[in-house]
Amino acid sequence: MTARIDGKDYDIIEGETILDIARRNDIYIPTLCNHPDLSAFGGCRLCLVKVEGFRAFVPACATPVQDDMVIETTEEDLDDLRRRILQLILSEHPSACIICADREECLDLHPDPTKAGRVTGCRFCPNRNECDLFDVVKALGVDDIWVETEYKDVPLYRRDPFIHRDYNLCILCGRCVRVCAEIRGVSAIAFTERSHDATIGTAFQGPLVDSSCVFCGACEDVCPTGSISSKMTRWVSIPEVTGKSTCVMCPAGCAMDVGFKWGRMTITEPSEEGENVAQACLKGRYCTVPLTNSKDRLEYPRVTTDGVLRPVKWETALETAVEGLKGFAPEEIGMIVSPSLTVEEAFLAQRIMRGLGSDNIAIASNMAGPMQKAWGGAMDRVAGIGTMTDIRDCDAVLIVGTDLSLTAAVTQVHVHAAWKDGASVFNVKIDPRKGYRHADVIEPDAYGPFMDILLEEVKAPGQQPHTPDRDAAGRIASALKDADKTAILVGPGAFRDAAEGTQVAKLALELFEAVNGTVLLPLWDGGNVQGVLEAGASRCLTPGQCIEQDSGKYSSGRNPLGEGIKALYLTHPVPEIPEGVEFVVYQGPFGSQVSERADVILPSSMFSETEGTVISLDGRVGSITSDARLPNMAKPDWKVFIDMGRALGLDGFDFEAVADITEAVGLPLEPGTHLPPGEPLPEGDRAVRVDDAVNPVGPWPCSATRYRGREIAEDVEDFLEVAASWGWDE
Amino acid sequence: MTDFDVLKAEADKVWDDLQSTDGVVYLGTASCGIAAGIGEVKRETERWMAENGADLRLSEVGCIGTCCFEPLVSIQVHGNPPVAYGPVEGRTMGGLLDSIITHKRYPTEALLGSIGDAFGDVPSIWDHPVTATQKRIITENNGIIDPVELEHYISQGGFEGLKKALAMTPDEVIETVLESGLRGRGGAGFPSGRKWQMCRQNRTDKSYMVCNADEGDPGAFMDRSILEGDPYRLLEGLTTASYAIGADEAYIYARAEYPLAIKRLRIAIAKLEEVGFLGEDIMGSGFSLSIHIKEGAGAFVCGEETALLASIEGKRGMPRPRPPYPAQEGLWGKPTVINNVKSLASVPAIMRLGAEHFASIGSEGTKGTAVFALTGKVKYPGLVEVPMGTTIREIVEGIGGGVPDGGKLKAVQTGGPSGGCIPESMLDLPVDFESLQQAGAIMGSGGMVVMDEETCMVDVARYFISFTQYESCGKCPPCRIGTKKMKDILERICDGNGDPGDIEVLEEIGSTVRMGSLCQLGGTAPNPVLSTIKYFREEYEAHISDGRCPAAVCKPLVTYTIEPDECIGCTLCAKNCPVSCIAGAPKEAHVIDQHQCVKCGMCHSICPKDAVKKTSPGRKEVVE
Repeated sequence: MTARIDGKDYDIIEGETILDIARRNDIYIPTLCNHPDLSAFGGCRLCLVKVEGFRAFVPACATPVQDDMVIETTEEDLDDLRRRILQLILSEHPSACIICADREECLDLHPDPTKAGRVTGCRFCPNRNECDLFDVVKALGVDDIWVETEYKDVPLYRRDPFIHRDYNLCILCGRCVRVCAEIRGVSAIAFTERSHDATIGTAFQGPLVDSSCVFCGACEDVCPTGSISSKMTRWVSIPEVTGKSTCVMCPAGCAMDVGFKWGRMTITEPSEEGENVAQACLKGRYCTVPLTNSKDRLEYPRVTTDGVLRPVKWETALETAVEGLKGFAPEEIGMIVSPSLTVEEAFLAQRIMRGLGSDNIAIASNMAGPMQKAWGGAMDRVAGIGTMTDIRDCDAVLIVGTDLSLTAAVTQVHVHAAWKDGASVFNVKIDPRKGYRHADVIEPDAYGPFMDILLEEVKAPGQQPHTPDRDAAGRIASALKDADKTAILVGPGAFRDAAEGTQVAKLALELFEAVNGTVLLPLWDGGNVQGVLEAGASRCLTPGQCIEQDSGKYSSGRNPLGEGIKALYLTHPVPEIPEGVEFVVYQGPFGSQVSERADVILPSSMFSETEGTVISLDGRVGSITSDARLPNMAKPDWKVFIDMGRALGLDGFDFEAVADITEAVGLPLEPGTHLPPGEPLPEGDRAVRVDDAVNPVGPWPCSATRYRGREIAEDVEDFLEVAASWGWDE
Repeated sequence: MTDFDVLKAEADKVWDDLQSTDGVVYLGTASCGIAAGIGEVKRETERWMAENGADLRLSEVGCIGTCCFEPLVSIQVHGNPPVAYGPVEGRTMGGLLDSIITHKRYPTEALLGSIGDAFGDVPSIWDHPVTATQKRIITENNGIIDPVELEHYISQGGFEGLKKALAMTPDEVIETVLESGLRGRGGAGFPSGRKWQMCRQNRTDKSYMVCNADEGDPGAFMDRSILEGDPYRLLEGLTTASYAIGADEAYIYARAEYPLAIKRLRIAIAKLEEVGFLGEDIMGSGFSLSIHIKEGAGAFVCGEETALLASIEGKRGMPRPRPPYPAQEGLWGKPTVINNVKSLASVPAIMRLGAEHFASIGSEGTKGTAVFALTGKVKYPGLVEVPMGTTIREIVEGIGGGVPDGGKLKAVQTGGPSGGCIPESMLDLPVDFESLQQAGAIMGSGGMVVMDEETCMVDVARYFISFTQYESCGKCPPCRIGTKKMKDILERICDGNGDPGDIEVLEEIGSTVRMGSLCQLGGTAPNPVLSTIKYFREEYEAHISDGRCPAAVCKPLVTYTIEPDECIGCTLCAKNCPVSCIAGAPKEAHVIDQHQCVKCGMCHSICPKDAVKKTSPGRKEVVE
């Protein structure tokens, strides 16, 4: 099948629009409201084309192309009409700069940061140089406006955290409304009012905080103008250096585009390259930068002398640490590994401990221990099965122990895609947060018993007397069994209690096998729990998750926060220093109550300032790069570990660059690829390979709402307060 | 399920009984009658009955179409057909009943004629100039039957069409409608049969039938009259159409501002379900249909079919681009046909009397009748049904009786805010889709506003563009911004602040809005402006260059002066002036202080001698 465009024939693909075929063949058709990820809108009227046999011009974005269609895209009357429509749009958009003849010179000369709250031209626009409107103006060659211009003068919405809205710049393309509803499944905003007053807003124009908005920033990312801008970046303008990195705020492992200016990280935006399909969440989108640039960072190595933590040189701090640690027997030393470290850093951390002869290593995660116990015995590796994008093809999705609002929030994008294709979505949670709006929410009293009931209903439906929980379980069970493909997601809410968590993890795996599932993913409570496990930084594990229980090489390890531990090396805060601990080394980017009691403090990096590899909850390898200057004397964690290893006189710390460490880890850490899934072991082989003595530790003060001990927030409502504490006074 | 013939026999008996009853008072109880005061007339009748011990039957009927004679009653006594009187007031009703019932004498005052043949001194209402040239097909029962009485409708041939249709195959029904040449009465004139055919071809598992009863044009009330006066006719047409396209669910999207119409529709649907003309297995044919009523929420744009569908789905009423057309992907993604009330109300007659009969009425390209709501500066405003192809002059001057009080006709506006103004010189234009479109107007849903010399065409354009601007959904910039710019410019011109070149800018914006808009709300929004510029350009120029409003309508350009020779010094104007700017001693000529005058026009309307003159002298002549 072919269509003739501007006199040339092109092959067409079933179901594509005129705009699709034009884009595929590099034929330029101007458009403002169209976005490749969103449904056709047909609102901006700039993509009008002439099609033979149609009375009027038709929008290329919304018109399906048909066999033998004859299409004209560039005739003079078309361009004229487009130009006049664009001029109508410009008459209401502060667009003096757009059509100014001296624009180029001006861009070079005018001061950079945008210090005006109200935008009156491009030089004050937070969207500068990424303006779709300007691109279209340039393409159509508009250099004047023939109708009277008018500034709409509607109030600015400045009271929300993170997001600044200025509808004087809005051209009502509706992209934000569509992305909110179609991609995120949130629908916090919609068209409101009508006629010339038509605008975008929440119900009754209330603040976003009071709506169902989760501040994912998707609206800002698709906005073709500067109407929606990020409060923190609107003042710093265009970054000097940009790069690609991976977010470690949660285990979703979103690929991010990062920007730096003045040696500081200034912007994080979701990249199109990852499984996050150009989506992010408020933690990655809006919290990384303020956290990184927070005034509360640890900036100097400190050593306690005479009961006071005093700043010292790095050498002194390391010497003190080495002296302190060497004063204890290996089994008396414990280490807490932060789940926010990179694979390389975690690898070095365990190498230090094992170099000292100790296996008393635990990950600061409520999920890691129970998971290791529950899945370690039944699977060849503690890892999920399937990928996040596989969720999109599933017909039934069960989410247990989280609402996807703050843990792996971007997963909801895939769940919503599945829902739109007709999947049933169930959310078993105890959390009071709102969560995914299209889910069938079940709120049992406890997770463990409910999962038991659910498994019963899958195996022998309808045998037991009716209770509300059992009816709900029956509903889920029949949906899971009827579905061709099912996804089960297990989140941290079910792991507040270690024993219950272990039970839930076991039952989830059994359920997965009983319904012959497709996707089983642990929604970890730390950014790189999977990577830390892969690095072997947990008891009984070696790099690559070889379970060394029976080799006799290590002791089975002690609980680092348990009996008999006298020295602690912390890279993550703990609730409190146990009785009997005499010496504490604290390494991290932020202080905490615990660090007040430390003997040595080693200021280190946030993920946004280091380099290395992280592994997402579905085993995707992501790389971290940075161009940020660390605050004062702080060093990246990997450098601190190398210095520490050398200072301790241990072997295997002769690394110059992160790449050398990556190689030493010995895993296939190719960015963008997936590590193999955790294969369930055959029934006969299911011997207990992990000692029951591998007791989980917890509960940890780490959750989806903290980063290395730094509180972010429990709920969106809290963000107003948190944002204020980060010094946003606007 | 009731056998149709049994039901028909019963219905005929009910109707014959009513016809032969001595002492029936028919009350025109549509919204128009209620507003005009039929309630008072009814109370007065009941009071009279109690006083005189008379046993009269009261029957509430729909609107016969003669708005000029509301409130309207027909009295049937002494074996004569009902005799219509209007306008009747509560205080005159007693006297009327006295003379007709007690004294057996038909007074001539307010007499319209007998609804039937002439007898004695009473002429037939069908010979009245207002009704003589009308051809009532869609509105044939209006004002004759009680709208909620199913028997009345059946006795007039109701549901015979549906019975015939159900005996045919759906394709035969579509074929019949195609042959009849019925075109959509919503405005665009798309052949209804073709629409049904497309939908039927695209049908897979489900399709929907939707009736568009979201009549939103200012001054239009055709659909309301049909819904209030003959709801069964619409329901029969809707059922026939649903059968033809294979829909088992139908929606009537009615304005919430039509509570009486909605109430009567609900009653009618319930009665039809009771007798098995709706619901499961209609008339034993195996065809099932359920009809839902969706009340609109006051948005004009929801008359646009894709916006209407979005509204039924519970979404914001915003149009979407077509294709895909609703007949391909409509309500909830299923093939859907949307027909106007009048299109569907034409269907029963087509089925009952045959396609040829319908096709024999009307003009070459447009078959059947056109229903207009004739309003404005006309002697007999009201609902008018004429064969397609009738000239506008015949409607306005023949049926409407021309401009009252010797005024001069200036223009006729058809099609409401989407339509255009046709000047007096073009009144011989026949009424059909093509002719009107060529003249820059549209048939629209059927509003027809007559304007005389006291109407300012710039003001008319400003009024209509303000309406469309307010009703724009805001989705596409040509409509959202373009109509706003046009409104701003027209307001400036009406204020006397027009600039040379404004007319050209209006034309350019107009063509941008017309060609660039997403839906027909925007596509037709500039029509009132462009057609008035086309035919009345000199009025625009007078406003802009002379600061003069030729019709003396635009307030800032109007001056009130008192002619000293005509003033009798009665002081009425001075006493009523809200800003006390009229000076003068009693019995002496008064003078208006132009600097203080707010141009409210009170003096002009109150002056017993018409000594206060309303003029628009123009910029140069303004007295300092």
